[in-house]
Amino acid sequence: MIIKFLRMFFLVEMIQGMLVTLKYTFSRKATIQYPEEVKQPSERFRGIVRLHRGEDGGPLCIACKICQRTCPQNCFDIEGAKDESGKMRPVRFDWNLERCSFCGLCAEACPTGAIRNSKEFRLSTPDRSKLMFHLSEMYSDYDLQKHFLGEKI
Amino acid sequence: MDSKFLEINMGPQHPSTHGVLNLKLSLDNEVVVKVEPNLGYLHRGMEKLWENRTYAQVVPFTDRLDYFCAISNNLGYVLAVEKLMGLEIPKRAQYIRVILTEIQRIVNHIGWLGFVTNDAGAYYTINFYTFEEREEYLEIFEEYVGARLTINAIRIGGVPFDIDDKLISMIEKALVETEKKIKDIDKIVTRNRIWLHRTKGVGVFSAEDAVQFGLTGPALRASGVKWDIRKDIPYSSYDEFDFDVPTGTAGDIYDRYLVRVEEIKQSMRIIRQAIKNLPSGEIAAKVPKVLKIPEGEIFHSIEAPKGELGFYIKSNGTDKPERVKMKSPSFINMQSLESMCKGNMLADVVVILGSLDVLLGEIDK
Ligand code: SF4
Ligand code: SF4
Repeated sequence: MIIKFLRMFFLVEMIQGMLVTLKYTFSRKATIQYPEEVKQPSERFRGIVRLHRGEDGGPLCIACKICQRTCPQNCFDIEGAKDESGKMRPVRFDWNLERCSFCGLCAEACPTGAIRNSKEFRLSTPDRSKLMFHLSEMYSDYDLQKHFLGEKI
Repeated sequence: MDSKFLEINMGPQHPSTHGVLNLKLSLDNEVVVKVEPNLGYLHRGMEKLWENRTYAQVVPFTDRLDYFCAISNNLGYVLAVEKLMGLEIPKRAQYIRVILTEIQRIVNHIGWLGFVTNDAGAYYTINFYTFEEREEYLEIFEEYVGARLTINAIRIGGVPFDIDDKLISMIEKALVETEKKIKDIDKIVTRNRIWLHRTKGVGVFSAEDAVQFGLTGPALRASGVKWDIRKDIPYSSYDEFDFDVPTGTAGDIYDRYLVRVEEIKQSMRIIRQAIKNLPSGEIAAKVPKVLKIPEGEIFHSIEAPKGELGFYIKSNGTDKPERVKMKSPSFINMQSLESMCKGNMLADVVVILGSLDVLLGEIDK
């Protein structure tokens, strides 16, 4: 009874709590000061999807449209045609960033590994029309920041 | 409505309603006499959308229901589909699923700790500590599948990736950190007199009422009913793990807090056992590319962090489900809100709502 009263009178539990918060005041800061510091995305990070080229520099995509059928949000619109050597290649590859939910199912389904999630996560733009990607803009070497921000970069 | 009561609107833009929820409160001075939840601000027509998607395509949509614990939703849906197909899942995949969902349970409960103390007046102090902790787990998810919140980490038939030593060491490190963090929060909160005044005897719900209202999850267990689907109807190899189901006695907010803290500790126990006994073998069963499921219907429920999450699926023999109905724990738990709030003060409504752990993405679908 007396102990309980003393505990209450001297605010024991409050001081205990305050000590914990004091400890945190001097502990390591958890915040990352973006954009000066940028946290590195992990190896499997699912950013915006990009098309990749083969070792010979030619496109890997064979316009099989499996990604189009797999995508739950219906982002793709692909059309293929045979090139000079008789291989199927995409002639139209429209991809809509607005609809993409970054689920990664297209990259998992692609039989040639042509389409993969990149590590790019900075996808803001003042111009809505920039969110629709066409074939030449889909390749991994395309400069996305210039695409999104134009000369403002 | 009797004119002697004051009617006020809480929400839909109220910072403490955990989403866009409109509560119409009738007040007698400061005492609540009637609570009328007004739902639908986040309605996206999920169940209708799923009728136009193939079985595999539905999985990323389930992330967006309860966006605070996406993997549990994935698991609930995927298990229902697998049960309908009669598919046998490799042991290793089941264990990885258990590890992931238990991590998700820790993330949910520890995030809840921050939110509810925030609602009760510990303005953002504990929230910052818990979110620092949550960040560690989100990093584990990022390492595992590459996304942090809407992770889409479970596929029909198994899991997309194996877990390696790096991931296991990350998980073990995070668990140790969480233990420390829980001790610290315990020091700040558990015997704090403001917290005790705000929670003890507030929002009391008896065991009979809880069962009558169909309450599930930690709030039900805090009322003293020992019901946990992981124990009572085991799925995904939960019967192979040794863990306790914590229950409360009083059924007030304080007990809900204690039950959730204890559940975090039990989840850690499960994860440690799963890592220790992780069987070798395949991580996914063979599933055809175009998944056609024979006609039939199924209901399967799991113990999500917020309560019993069930999926009812009706298939018509094509590659798309004819109907998917979701029994979301938040929606059912929301029914008890009025009974809990009646007779309490206006300021307690926020804490009671927080203690129920509802999430609007799941209520409105
Ligand atoms: S990106 Fe891959 S899946 Fe899509 S059309 Fe090309 S080869 Fe087929
Ligand atoms: S990541 Fe998902 S939503 Fe985005 S394009 Fe690929 S399949 Fe479609």
